[in-house]
Amino acid sequence: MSSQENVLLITDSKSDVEEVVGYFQQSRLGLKLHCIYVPEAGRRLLSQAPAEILLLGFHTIEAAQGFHERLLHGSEAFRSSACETILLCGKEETEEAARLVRARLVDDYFVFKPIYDPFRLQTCFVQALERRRLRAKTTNLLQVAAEGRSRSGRAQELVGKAVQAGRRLRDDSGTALEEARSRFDEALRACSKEIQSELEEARGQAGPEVAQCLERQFRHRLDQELRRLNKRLQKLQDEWIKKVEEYRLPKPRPRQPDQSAEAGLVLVVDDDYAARELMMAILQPRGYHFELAENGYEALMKVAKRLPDIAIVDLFMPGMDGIELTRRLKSDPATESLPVIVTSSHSTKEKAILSKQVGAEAFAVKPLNSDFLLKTVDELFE
Amino acid sequence: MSRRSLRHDLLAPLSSIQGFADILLSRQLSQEDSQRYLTIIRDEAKRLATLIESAFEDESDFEAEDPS
Repeated sequence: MSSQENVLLITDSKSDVEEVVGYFQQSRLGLKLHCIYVPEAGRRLLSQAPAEILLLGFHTIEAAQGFHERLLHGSEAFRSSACETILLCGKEETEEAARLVRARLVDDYFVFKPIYDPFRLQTCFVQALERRRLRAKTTNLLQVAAEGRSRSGRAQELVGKAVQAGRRLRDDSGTALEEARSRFDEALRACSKEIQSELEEARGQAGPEVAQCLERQFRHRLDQELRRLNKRLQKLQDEWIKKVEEYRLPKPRPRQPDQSAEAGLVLVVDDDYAARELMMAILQPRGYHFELAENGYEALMKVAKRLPDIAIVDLFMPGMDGIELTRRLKSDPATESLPVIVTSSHSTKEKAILSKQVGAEAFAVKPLNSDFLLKTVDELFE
Repeated sequence: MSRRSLRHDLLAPLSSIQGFADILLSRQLSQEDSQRYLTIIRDEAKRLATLIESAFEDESDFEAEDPS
């Protein structure tokens, strides 16, 4: 033990003093002993110059009537001195001393009667000094913790203030943003109105010319789109007819024996409704039956279902035209004997020759001559 | 629209009108047939008028195309 510690002995027993003093003389702990016989005087002394270790005679406590309790709890100065209290007692007082220790009224007790053990006393002192050191350390730590709590509290307070300031700022900025948006919307509406007005004015000035221009553009686009669709349709129709041919068209059913020549079946193929009606009107006096088709593909299907006696085919049709239809009818053994009359509003010699080349029996020019058509049909029926 | 296509489109209703008119003039028809043919004539005439209107509007378009 390097530094000298003060030990205050308060007792009413001279024999206690002798033995303790004897111990101090022998020990090398470096402790300085002060002996007081009067408890109140000892208390005053402690409040003025606190000792590190207090040795209390057991009977001193009883005699002082609660002095020790007052000493421990009543004197803040005494407690803050972190004085270690060791009770000196006899063997018969051991139980009470232990109770006082458990009640934390004293820190330790030392039995020196009837046998005095100086080593045990030394141990008590060493432990007391260690407890004091630890207590001081704990006190320091508690102070540091208290300071930390205090700082933390201040920090929390500052954070709270910052949060409040942030909220106020957010609220203010939110209001400003709303206001800005409102102004922007208003400006946008005004601008849109102005542009709309200018546009309408421009339209009014440009007027019919613009409308006409737009209409022409629209018609042109429509025409292009129509052509594209027609091409696509033709392609699809070609593909479809190829597939049909792959499966072989069913053999046309021959005419029934009971059907007379007057009630023959005429297939009229024309994409124009009025032209089909006209054909039927012209041939009406002969009492024929009619099968109608709007294009070459439909005609092939009708022929496949039932073979007519004669086919009157328009030359110019979308998809499969009359020339191609005649070529197909004439190239199929099942329909090659079917008489075909090609009609056309194109009275060119080339078309008439082409019709004959693909196998058509006759070529009639539109507007149709009723007599010529009736005569041709009659001849083909014979 | 090509010249060839326009020609075909204009002649088609005209042929029908002429054909039905010939039939009406040359035959004794029932009231029902006469009514039906006259209706077709009227409809085809309307169609022809529409086609002519359209053709003249599109004049610049077909003039730009190859006449062949």
